[in-house]
Amino acid sequence: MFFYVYDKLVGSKKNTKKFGQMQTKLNELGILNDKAEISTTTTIENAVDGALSSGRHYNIIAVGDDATAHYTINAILKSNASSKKTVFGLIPFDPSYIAGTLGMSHDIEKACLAISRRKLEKIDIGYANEGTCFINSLNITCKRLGSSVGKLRNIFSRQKKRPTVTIKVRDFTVKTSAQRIAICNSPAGWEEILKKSGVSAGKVSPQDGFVDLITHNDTGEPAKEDTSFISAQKLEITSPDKITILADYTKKLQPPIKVGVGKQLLKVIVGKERNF
Amino acid sequence: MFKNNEEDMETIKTEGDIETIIGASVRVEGDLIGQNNMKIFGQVAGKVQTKGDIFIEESANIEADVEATNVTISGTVEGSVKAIERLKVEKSGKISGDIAAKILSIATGASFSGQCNMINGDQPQSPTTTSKPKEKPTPESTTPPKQG
Repeated sequence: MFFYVYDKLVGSKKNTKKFGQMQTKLNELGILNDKAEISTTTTIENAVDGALSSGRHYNIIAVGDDATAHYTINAILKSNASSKKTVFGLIPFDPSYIAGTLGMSHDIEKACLAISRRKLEKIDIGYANEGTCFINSLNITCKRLGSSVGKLRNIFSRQKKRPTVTIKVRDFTVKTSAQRIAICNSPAGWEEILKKSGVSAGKVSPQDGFVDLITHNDTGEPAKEDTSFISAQKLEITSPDKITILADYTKKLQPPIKVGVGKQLLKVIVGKERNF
Repeated sequence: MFKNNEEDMETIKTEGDIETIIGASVRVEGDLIGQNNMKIFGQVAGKVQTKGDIFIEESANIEADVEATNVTISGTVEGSVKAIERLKVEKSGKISGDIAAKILSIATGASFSGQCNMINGDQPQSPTTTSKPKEKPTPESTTPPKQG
């Protein structure tokens, strides 16, 4: 049985036509079993836990963007009712890196067909401080100040000095002030940079039991691309500066953060164009 | 929080399958030990060791002992260098420390200060010459392994 979880954005006026199209297609395919709209009273965690606890639903399908997918995956992994039979799927309504990883089309009809085909793969899940799971990446960014004075200060501080990030890997530490720093479980969003550095995107696979530290400075000169690539099973991120770490471009975390990887922890429905 | 299905899992790749790149804006401190090829453009202080090959690029600054199957140096190394097979020092390469290799090639313009130990099979031979800087007359010359 399939259970669909979506937030208000998906059910909003802007998406009425698309949402109707999805429901029609899922009905045609005979896989529109049950659904829940997330509201102030119904959280993704409650909805997913309820669906899994009912014992009727094994296929939990997030309908929405990276945030919907991220929180649904976290809810599945935290639920005591999830089992080996539990499967995660995504119907993307907005641009989504997680959809890119899973190869789910942004064409609603194609995405619904992929869900009904139910081609399954087991994938690794990264975790940060054992409280947050991520399917794609942790992206480290400099903390930005919102006010106009703050923005001005940001401009000067950027010219002066970028934040330093220290990442402990096995028996060594990596110190960097690179423009882009990420811990990746999937290459989504990093394909171009990896290609320029001569690292095949296949090396950043969500099925290899590793996460990959990638740093990049855009020098503007292809011959002088400045990229680092280090694979590991455990990492620790610290910084003396104010930085923010975004899990799956969704959840904000603060250092220090211990990162690990759970090998092939989650069964997912994949489309033809998955990136692993 | 994770219900880890250990029985279903297998490690598909090991640390040995992975290539490591240390970018120019990165400084590594400690023991950088791996099993496969490494490319270094940045700074390393500590130890660098792999069963694969190491490429120390022109921008690299290594304050560490280096050990690998094949080592190519275009940057600066302060520390000993051991290549189980071949050590190649490019014209921009600078080594301040002892070197050991089965096959050695040093390009014109390269700098080397230390003792050189040619490896013959499993038995390292006694240290040979010391020079600073060492320059070869030809653009690149190769010393084949000496036979006992």
